[in-house]
Amino acid sequence: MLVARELLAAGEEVTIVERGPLRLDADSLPADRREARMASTEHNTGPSPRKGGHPWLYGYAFGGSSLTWSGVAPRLLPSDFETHSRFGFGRDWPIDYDDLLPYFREAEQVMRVSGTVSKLFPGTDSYPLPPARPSAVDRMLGPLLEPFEPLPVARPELHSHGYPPPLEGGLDTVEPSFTMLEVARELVGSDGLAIVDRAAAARLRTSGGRVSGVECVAADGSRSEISARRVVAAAHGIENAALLLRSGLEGPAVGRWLNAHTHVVLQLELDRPIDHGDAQTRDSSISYAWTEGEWRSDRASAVVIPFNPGMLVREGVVEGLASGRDGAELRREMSERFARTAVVYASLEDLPREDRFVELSSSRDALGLPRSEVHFPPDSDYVERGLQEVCTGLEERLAPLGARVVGRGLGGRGGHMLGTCFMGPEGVVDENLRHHSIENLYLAGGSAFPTYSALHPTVTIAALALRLGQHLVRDGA
Amino acid sequence: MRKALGLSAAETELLLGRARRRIGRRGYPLRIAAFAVATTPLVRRLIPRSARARLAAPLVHALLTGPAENLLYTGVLSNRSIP
Repeated sequence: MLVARELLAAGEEVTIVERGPLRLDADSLPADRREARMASTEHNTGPSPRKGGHPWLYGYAFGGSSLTWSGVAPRLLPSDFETHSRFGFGRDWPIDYDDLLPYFREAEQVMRVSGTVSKLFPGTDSYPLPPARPSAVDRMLGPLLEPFEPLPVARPELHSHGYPPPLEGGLDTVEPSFTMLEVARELVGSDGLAIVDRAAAARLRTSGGRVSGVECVAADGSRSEISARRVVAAAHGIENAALLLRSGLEGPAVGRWLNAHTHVVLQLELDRPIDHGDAQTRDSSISYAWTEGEWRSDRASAVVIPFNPGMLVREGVVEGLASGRDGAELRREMSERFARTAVVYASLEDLPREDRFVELSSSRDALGLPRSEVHFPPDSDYVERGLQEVCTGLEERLAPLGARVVGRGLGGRGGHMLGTCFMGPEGVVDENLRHHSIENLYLAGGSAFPTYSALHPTVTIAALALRLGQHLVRDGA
Repeated sequence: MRKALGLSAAETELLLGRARRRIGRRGYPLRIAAFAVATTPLVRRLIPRSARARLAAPLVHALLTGPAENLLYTGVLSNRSIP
């Protein structure tokens, strides 16, 4: 969408092919109803029968996975672009933080990210919006978890709606975040824009080192072909790779090095209560205490984000009821536990791994296309060492609050599909996201990441898209 | 159910109303019935603990589904949100 925005602004013609229907108000619906049900939006990823399952969270919808995004919007750190040079793992990106800096700024403007200036992310005077005020949890934990800063988020409506969502209101307790439909609403109706919705880009037809056409299959089974001077595949890491594989554009790196961040939810019992109701947003701050250091050669970088809603009590309530506990007594006990339990989630970076990959399955989806078979074996010891350091460090740093880690579980995972078409000389695309062999094919999205950082990828994906759009404008002029 | 969860009448009405809207008419009675089996003193002695948990969980999860319901159950929201 952001690539299209740049091209349309320069007077170019753009055709967008999208699996989902064009519903410009889909972001007003609850998150679980934003993706319409039809043949072209059937999720076509399956786990490898040999490697176990893994949840993959994405949206086949106009606006893509931004419709399921929670709005957490930090940049990558400068060192994240140079992990090989600095720490000896992965590959350096062919571009660096400074190359992306103007596009980070622009992406933050487009997405109306709230935040504050940080020494960790040089080159920015301000964010478009001020940050949410620190929650009670932030104020209690933050001084002991430095560097501890406001979390950049792209959900500005939050500041006016307040948190938590009122019980008397609707049922949708998901906070509103920025979605690409906000960009789409500006673009639809533009001169030069054509939209082919409810249709999957099935294959790229290539000839003489160029894409000569994009074969599409519509939800009703009809087929068509679109010709274009340049083609940008802008899907998630699994789907971008699958499109290349369906098109016979295999290569040693295509579909390989898939990554999804490990998110671990940690419960910390404290010796004093926290006012979990005192917050303006679901998450408002971030600790970089375990993010940056020479030790990244040995263990995973992590960011730690306090979860303002606190511990969800329902599992404890179920257990108490099953044990025959008195209701009033159970509620009192759960309320006390809730008040003294801080919840944080840690996002960790794993090493690039060749044994995590996408290939085409022998089974087919509702459109008759091969499904994507995803191989995603468990995290490496590198992640486990990083997590152990976080757990130990949290107890040490938070000792003045009597903190003990009393619970640890996997949090939401599978929304960051990165790395399957990485940029670089050994990868699939060059520094301008152009395919190495197909001169008019470009790959936007997280599939181009050579390494992954511990930080959330969306703003970097958006910055890369803006950079690509402006490159195409210059290149085509 | 109100007694089993230690809720007031107003809290119960509020949480049940939200759960009913969320899960729809078809799933709601089944969850209520399963919860009753799991928590009625005379009946619950006849079934193992793990089965009681499985029976109670669907309704409890629907009642305490998000941050607002969580804050209500734990008393943080009770004063400012319950009529």
